[in-house]
Amino acid sequence: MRQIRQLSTALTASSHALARLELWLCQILIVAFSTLLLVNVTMRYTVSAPIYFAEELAVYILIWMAFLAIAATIARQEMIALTFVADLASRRLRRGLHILVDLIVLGMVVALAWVSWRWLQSPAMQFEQALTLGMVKRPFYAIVPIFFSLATLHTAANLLRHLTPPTPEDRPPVHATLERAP
Amino acid sequence: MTGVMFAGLLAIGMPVAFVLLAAAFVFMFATGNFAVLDAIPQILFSGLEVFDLLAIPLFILLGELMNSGGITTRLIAAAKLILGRLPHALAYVCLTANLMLASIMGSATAQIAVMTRVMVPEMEQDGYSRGFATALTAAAGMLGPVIPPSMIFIIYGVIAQVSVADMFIAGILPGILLFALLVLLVTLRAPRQTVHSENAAPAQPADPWRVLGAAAAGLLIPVVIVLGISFGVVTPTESAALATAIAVILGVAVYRALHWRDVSGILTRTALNSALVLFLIATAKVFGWLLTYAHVPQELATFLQGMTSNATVFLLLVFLLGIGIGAFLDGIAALIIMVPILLPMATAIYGIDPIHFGVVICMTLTIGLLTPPVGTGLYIAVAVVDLPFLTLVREILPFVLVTMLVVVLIALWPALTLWLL
Amino acid sequence: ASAQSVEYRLGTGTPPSHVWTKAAERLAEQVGEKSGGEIKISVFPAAQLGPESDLLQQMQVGVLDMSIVSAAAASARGPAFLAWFSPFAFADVEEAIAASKGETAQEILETLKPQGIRGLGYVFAGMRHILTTNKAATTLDDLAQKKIRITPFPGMQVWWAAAGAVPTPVQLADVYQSLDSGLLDGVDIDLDALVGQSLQQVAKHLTVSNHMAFPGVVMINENSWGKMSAEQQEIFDTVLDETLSWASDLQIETEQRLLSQLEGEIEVVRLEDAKSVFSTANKAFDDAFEKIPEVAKFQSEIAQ
Ligand code: NA
Ligand code: NA
Repeated sequence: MRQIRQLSTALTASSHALARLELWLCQILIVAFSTLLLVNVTMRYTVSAPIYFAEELAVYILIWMAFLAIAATIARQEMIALTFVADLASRRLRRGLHILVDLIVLGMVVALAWVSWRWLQSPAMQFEQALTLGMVKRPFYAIVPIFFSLATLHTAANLLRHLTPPTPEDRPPVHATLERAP
Repeated sequence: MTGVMFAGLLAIGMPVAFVLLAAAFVFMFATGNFAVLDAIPQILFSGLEVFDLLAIPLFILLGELMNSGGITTRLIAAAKLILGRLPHALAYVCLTANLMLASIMGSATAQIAVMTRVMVPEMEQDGYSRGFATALTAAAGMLGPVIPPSMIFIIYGVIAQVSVADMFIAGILPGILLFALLVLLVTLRAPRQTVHSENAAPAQPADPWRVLGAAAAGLLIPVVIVLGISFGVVTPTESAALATAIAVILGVAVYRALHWRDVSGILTRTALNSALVLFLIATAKVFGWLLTYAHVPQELATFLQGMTSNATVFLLLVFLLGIGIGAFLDGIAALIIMVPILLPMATAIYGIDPIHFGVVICMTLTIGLLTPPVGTGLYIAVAVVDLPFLTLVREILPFVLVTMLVVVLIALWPALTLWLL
Repeated sequence: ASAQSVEYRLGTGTPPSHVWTKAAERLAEQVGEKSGGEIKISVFPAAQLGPESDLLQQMQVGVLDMSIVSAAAASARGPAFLAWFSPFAFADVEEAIAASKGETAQEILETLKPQGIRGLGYVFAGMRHILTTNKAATTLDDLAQKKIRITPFPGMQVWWAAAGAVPTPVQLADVYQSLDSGLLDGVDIDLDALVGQSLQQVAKHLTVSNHMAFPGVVMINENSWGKMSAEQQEIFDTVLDETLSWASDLQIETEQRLLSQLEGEIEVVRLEDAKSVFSTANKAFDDAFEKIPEVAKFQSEIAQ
């Protein structure tokens, strides 16, 4: 039990540190695609020279931002879920439900991490082009396996934390994050 | 069997997005078709590989900027100045400020997040119950996606291959009708609330022209957007980026309320709130793909077709189906699943105009934001104002019924959407 | 022989009204009939199973059996398909159809093999023309610095940029509004899509340039193909040949019908010396893609 608790503490700490890093990257990416769109509009309207690849690049930045932010919401246990059954349940049963959900999610994200790393290694990935950027699309696709790997770590941390009896930093899941973000 | 599994996973509190992914695993084990799993990474990626989805973080960012930059409070101040002498003025101020905000913002969730935070404490101070104030503000957030600009209309335009600009114009009359019926409902219900001060306007407003001028600067945003789109400077999606730029300039230079120290919080909240919606969209894409792959929509279409040959009845069936699906799925996620199934039937078999159909289905699914058990708008509101979920559900019921009435009226009279086109 | 029955899923990225989807529907119907119900194909049109790049990936992992996707999308995975976009290689869609039966066209299909995909043949959308808002494009000066919407892939981008225009990727659904508002000055398009989106209402000058063909590629996953008996494969091949020539006739007829319809509605200019008008752009295309062996080979085969 003590080892599990130590592992849980360590894993939670690294999960939270990673989540902070993910959100910090998200901030940069949001500024990046907003700026890119505005520069593109300006170039197109004022000097008739749109940035040919702007739309495609903006979308890839959005996708990276989205998956990193999703990973952070997993770490922060802020995903949209129905909690009215858990709200009615006893403390013990609620913990059991958390553990069950974490186990199923962990199984899924591990399988998908494996499948998506394999997908990234598939031969077609050597060819497939980001059409307007004129480069292979693989670096952009890489966010999917990265996301499922991050999700695996965050979910494992959540699971261990639910397995070990409540500690002060244990928080109930929340639905929306408007007041709780830093 | 799959349905029971689905309900069970939702009930034990698995995040909705993961429940949608779990369907793929259930299908895989049930059919032994393991290649299905290999298709998921690409579908998740390409589900988000849509230029117009950039509107989601941009509209959420716009909401955050308007709040931090002081635009929201200026709009409310102007509404108070105009309506302050009415009895129960704050309820009307709330609706009017939402109407003004709706002409700037494109998403109900972003608008609910912005408005509940500022309106509810103020209304509570005036003696309104927290439940009523929150329900009114959340319901008025429905104006956001109906009055142009609108994120869900943009996304519908993309899926249905119809002009986004036409969708925007088609939303104007339904938006005004919704506003009018909400005003009517408030007139009927507000008198039951104990209100301390009879009117909301300060006895002597400091300088009425200054208050109106400050709000007018904020209302510059929709003017610039409309002109920008009609003169070919920006596409509707790009207009969201333009609006955020103006909000930054107003917040920093005009209202002097936006500070460097706020930036990190604004961007982080934008990322987290976008993530909630975007993950649902990506996983709903996997779910929708799976349904299509398993021929479910085709069978549903045959079933609906067998029920009626009348276009209006069909639209009302779509409305009921949409309310049912909207109870459980996020509006945009549900839109992405339903439109490819229903639109071809609507146009080819029932001869319904795709714009009319779009307004009906988008509004129907937006109502889902305000219905339990999965109501993103409700969740955001209770998170912001700290209110029991079930209290809000009870208080918002009359507002939801009024919104449903509006959609039914629109389904019955296509002219409400098509007349301005 | 009492062969086993097979069930296939076929995906397209095009709407039900498009010739590629029509060809898919007809193939499904005829194959079912001629095989006595042993080969069943369900068609998923309009990107129901995903955009073209997803269809290609799903075929590769074997979750999707068949698809008809554009050679433009296929070129993202096999650059040899760019040969099809050699500018002014074909005077009209009939010539393009003839070339699809040649040796190099088949070699291009073979390049899909390493991905576990068998290329079966080509089915053609209309030739590409130029629709503009201000005046018809009879010289490169008419196009200088004009914002032209293109299908975003390298072949078309290189050609338009070298022509002095500003290739602008805009979603097809936004093109009408963008031409109307002036965000776009023109569009590189086939007549089907032009009339399908009523673009003649907002851009009144059509230059019939025939500058590129636009083939769709019919393909099947190798494992799925192997599920058919030799006899079934023979039936399938016969029906496919018949379907492709049916679709070709349909396309030739459609092209002529739409052109005469448009002549009554807007200015239509037939650019007879188009190839020399665009010579700098043509050279840029050749320079950019001459490294791809199939491009040079295809061009010389056609020139004969
Ligand atoms: Na709006
Ligand atoms: Na709901």
